[in-house]
This record gives sequence, C-alpha cells and structure tokens, in this order.
Amino acid sequence: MDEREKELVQKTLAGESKAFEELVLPYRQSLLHLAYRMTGNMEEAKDISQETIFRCYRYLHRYDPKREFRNWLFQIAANLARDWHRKRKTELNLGKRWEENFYPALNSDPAGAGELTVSQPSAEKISNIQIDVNACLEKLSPKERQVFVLRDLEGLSIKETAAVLKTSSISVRVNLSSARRKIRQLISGLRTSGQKGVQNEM
Amino acid sequence: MKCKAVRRKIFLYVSGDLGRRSSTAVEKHLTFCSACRQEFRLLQETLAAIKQADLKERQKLPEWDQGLWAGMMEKIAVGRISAPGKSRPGLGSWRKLAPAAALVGLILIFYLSYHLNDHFWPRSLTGPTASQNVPGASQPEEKLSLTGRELEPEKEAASKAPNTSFKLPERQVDTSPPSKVVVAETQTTASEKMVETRSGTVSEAGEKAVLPVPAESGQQSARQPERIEMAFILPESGVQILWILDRNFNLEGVKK
Repeated sequence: MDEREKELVQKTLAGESKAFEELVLPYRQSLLHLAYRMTGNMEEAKDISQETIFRCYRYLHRYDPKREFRNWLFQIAANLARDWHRKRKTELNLGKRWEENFYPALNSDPAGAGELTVSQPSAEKISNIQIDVNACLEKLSPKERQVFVLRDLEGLSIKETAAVLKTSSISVRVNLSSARRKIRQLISGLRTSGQKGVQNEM
Repeated sequence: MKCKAVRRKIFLYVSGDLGRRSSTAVEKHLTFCSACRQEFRLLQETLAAIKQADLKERQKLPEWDQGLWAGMMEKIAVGRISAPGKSRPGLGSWRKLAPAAALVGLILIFYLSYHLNDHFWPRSLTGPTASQNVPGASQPEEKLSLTGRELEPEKEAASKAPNTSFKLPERQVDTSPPSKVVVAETQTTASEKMVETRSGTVSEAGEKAVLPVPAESGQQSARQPERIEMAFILPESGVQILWILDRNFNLEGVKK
C-alpha cells in the first residue's frame, strides 16, 4: 500500500468522504470487471460492485494497511460473488425442480444451448479461435472460477488469491489446476469441433 | 518422472506455481518428451488465448455510470451509509443494551410471578402441595401396621405440638369404629400438619394465626374436636389398641 493510499484511508476514517472517493476511484473498473467475471452477468456485477464500495466504506476501520488495498476490495467482492452463487444455486435448484414437476418438456430442449461459440471454425491455431470467456467460466465450479479469475485474469499470485478467498494456498493450487485442465479441454474441444466442421463443409 | 505425472503438473508449472523440485523434474522431462512438450505448448497457447480474449472483452466493458457513482458518493457523504467503525444507525445502542434489558425482564418476571402467586392463587389453594410435603401425611397405610413401640417417637412429637406458637384449630371427637378412626385420625394428622405449615407462614407475615379451614380437609377439620382417638392394630395378634388424647395431645386413656 503506497503512502497516498494510507493518507486517504486516514482521512476517510477522520470523516472526509471526499478522500474515500479518491481512494476507490482507481479500482472501480477492475472491481466491475472482477464482479462480471465471477458472476457472468453485468447487472449483478454492477450491484456487487456497488455493494462492495459501500461495505468498503463501512468497514474501512477493519482494513489492515499491511495488505494491498486492491486485494482487500477484491476480497469483499469475492465474498459477495460467492453469496450470489449460493443464492443462484438455490434458485436454480428450485426452478429446476419446479420445471421438472410442471414442465418436463422444457428439459428436453434446446440442444447445444450454452455451448461455446466458434466464430472461425476453420482455425487450427488456438489464437485464431474467438473464445467466449464467460461461456468457458460457466463450465467451472464457483471455487474454480474464483481462483481462475483472480490468478489468471486478474494476475494475483497464489498467496494473494488465497488471502482474498480466505483459503489455503494448497486449495488454490488444486482448484487452479482443475480449472486450467477444464479450460484446456474446452478449448481443445473447440478446435476439434471446428476442424470437423470444416471437414464436413468440404 | 513419467508422462502421466507430468501431464498433471504442467497446469501449475505453466505459471511457475509448482515447487522447485517438481519444476526441475518437469523441466527435465520436457527436454526429451516431445508429446508432453506439445501438450505444454498447447496449454500455454490456451491460457494466452483466454487472457487475450479477456483483455478484449475488458475494453468493451461499460464504464461506471457517472450518475450512479455520484449518487453512491452522495449517500456516503450525507451519512446514509454508516461511517467506518460505526454500526448501523438505530441498532448500535440497542445491541449494547440487550443484555441489561434481558436481565431486567427476568427480574420482572420473577417479581411478578411471586406476587401474582400471592394475590391470585391464595395459599389455601396450594393445600394439596403443602400436605404432600408433610412427611408421612401421604402414607396412612403404614400407620396401620405400626407397633406400639414404634409409635413412641410420634407420641413424643405429638405431645410437643402444643408448645408451638401456632394456634391449631380444635378437633372433634371421632366416634366411628376403630378401622375408620384410623383413617380419620390420619387425615386429621395430615391436615393438622398442613395447617401448622400454613399458619407458620402466615404468622410470619404478621397476619392472624388462625386460618380458614382448607378446602381439601373437608368438614371434619372445620369442626373443633375435643378429643382424638387413635387406634392401632397389631397384625400378629389382631389386638386393637385405642389411645384417647385430649386437644393438647395429652393421653387421657388407653383401651384394648
């Protein structure tokens, strides 16, 4: 944490709300991005980002200046995203049960929905495939998704990721390894299906 | 290190998150295994591609709505979001007072229950409980088989009874047959002890020592007996002994 941030934190704690705005302004876009990647939904991401800012202000007195301020913000956002995933899981389960009971026909439909989109099926190189990142992240478990987003997309270290998620480094490694394997398989599947598509067209 | 193990470890090796020993082993394996090297290269490309895609999407991500941001900052400035270190308005003081309020509530409950018990449930209604608490009152059958010797302590206790400071209600002489007398005497004793208990409590409160007759003891206790007859049956011989006591429990005579 740099000196300027420390000063802004002190000023905010002293009651200067303008200092708080200056403190969080540089991080608001990365916060929105993180929330978007963790939820895959822009409206939810906005809500989570907003709540993160409010919680950050409310609990700023608990902030440890030894930690990086961005990581602390990310921790609040990750907690909110985790709560959102839990809530969503419950809703999905309830909705699924309801659909199974009342609309069984809905479950047989639609084939291929939610699959990854390939805009350039003839590409052999991975770099030529247009990847829908959110569609890839949807295939991961919430924990894998959080670890992958923080480590690979936001560039945090294993230790920092573990601190943000309040878990052990071992757990982060295990989930990261698993997430990368799944992503690798997905992209590999995209390449294969793209080549097959090309072959069929030919 | 075998290919299977390397394929497992390259997911962490690719970002330098593997331990030093494992990293060296994987590195060594990759120098001579082309299949694993190919797999490693594909993984590198995959991660690079997904990072690239993420960067592209990040640029397209909408900016914060300025109106929303201004509204949030205003909420903070006017204090609608509680300041750091302060709990939500209206809850903080109550949270601190909660244990004290609970304690006061408990004291109030005990106080009210004690006084309501006095006013709404007079002690005459609590008679059965009092008589049950008197030792021996609920065991009349045992007295039928008592021998004269065994009754000595009870007789002594009975002779001491007039020395108590409580005024007892007078009893009526019971002239019923011996077996019934025994039952009547037992009831009388029980009710008498009960009255003693009750009168003791009441006189402590400074009220009149003579109490109204308890409901459960019936009309027998309401009358004032002049003499008390106690009958004992010896089970071995079948001999019945009748003790005649005056109202002060002095022995007036014995009949066999």
